[in-house]
Amino acid sequence: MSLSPPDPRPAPPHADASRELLARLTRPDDDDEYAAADRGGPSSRVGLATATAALAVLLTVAAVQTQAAQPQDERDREVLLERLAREKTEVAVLGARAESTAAEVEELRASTLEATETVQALQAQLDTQGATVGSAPVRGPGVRVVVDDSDDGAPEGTITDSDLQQLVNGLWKAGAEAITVNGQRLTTLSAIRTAGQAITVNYRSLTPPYTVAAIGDPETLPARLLETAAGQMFSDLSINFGVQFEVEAASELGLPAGSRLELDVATASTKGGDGA
Amino acid sequence: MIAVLGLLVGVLLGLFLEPSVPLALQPYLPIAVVAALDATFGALRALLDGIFDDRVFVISFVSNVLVAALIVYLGDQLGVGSQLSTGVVVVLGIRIFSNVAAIRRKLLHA
Repeated sequence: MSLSPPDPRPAPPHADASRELLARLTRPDDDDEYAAADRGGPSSRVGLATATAALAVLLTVAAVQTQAAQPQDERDREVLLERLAREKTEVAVLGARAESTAAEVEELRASTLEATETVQALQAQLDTQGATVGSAPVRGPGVRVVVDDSDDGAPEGTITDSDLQQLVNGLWKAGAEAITVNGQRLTTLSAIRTAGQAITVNYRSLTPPYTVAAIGDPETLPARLLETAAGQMFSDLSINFGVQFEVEAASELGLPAGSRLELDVATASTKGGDGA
Repeated sequence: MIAVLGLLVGVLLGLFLEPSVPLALQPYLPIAVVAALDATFGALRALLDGIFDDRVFVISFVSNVLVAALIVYLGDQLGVGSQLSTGVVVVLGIRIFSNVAAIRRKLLHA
């Protein structure tokens, strides 16, 4: 193909459509409706007046509308700004409160921990003291002593309340730490005495045979019991009057808590008494 | 003369009747204004060229406003109202600019 002179037309027919559009838009002569109009038509004065009136109404309404919307927009903006400021301060207040609440929670957690430890210590103390006093059930090894009246029913062969008292005292002396008589736990308020025909412990009447269970060292408790005056006495009673007297070691005894441990008159005092 | 009278009547009507534009027609108002401006500047250029024709002005004014509103309405129905509004404003804006440029060339010879 030979060289041809450059095409004088700026836009070749196969040019990019969008470029052609741009070119058309920037050349207003191309779509000038007045230049292309058929100028011979009848001219309408009413139409022109109506059109200009419509144009004026349009522009005026738009202007009025914009003018009217402006103060409203301004007000809206101010309200929003005000609300924003309010919300910001609220957020700050809430943030501060959250912080202080977190500190409070931390404090309470620490004090709770402390209180828990105190409660645990007190509980342990209470358990120990309850076991000692008799208000708490206890378990442990010990001895079981069974005594009973002689079969012939002779007065010498009948167990009395003082016999039982001596036996219990002997067990305390031999190193017992907790004692029950027929299941009645001996506490600081317990009494062993006779009421009518029966021996009562904690105001409960007992019927023979009497089983005295004592928690203590099962290795030494029976031997030391027999060495005490009570042990000697019961040995004599057993030999001479046919009183039943059996001591047997037990590897595991469970003693219940004592009843009636309320104090009506005495109150706890931290001050040491002078004994008077 | 009749045109100036119409203009005055229109302004007064707009000011004193204060017609409130219904909410449904709110988006069409700016488009109509731009279309009307396009017709106006076209007419002004034709006037300077000495080829103004009131019939052409009336028809171009009415059809410009109607077609612009129709396009925006169609766009609203199709869910692309704002995009089509932008397109109409761009096209009319370019036409307004080229008309104003022609007027400027005529008046200032620059």
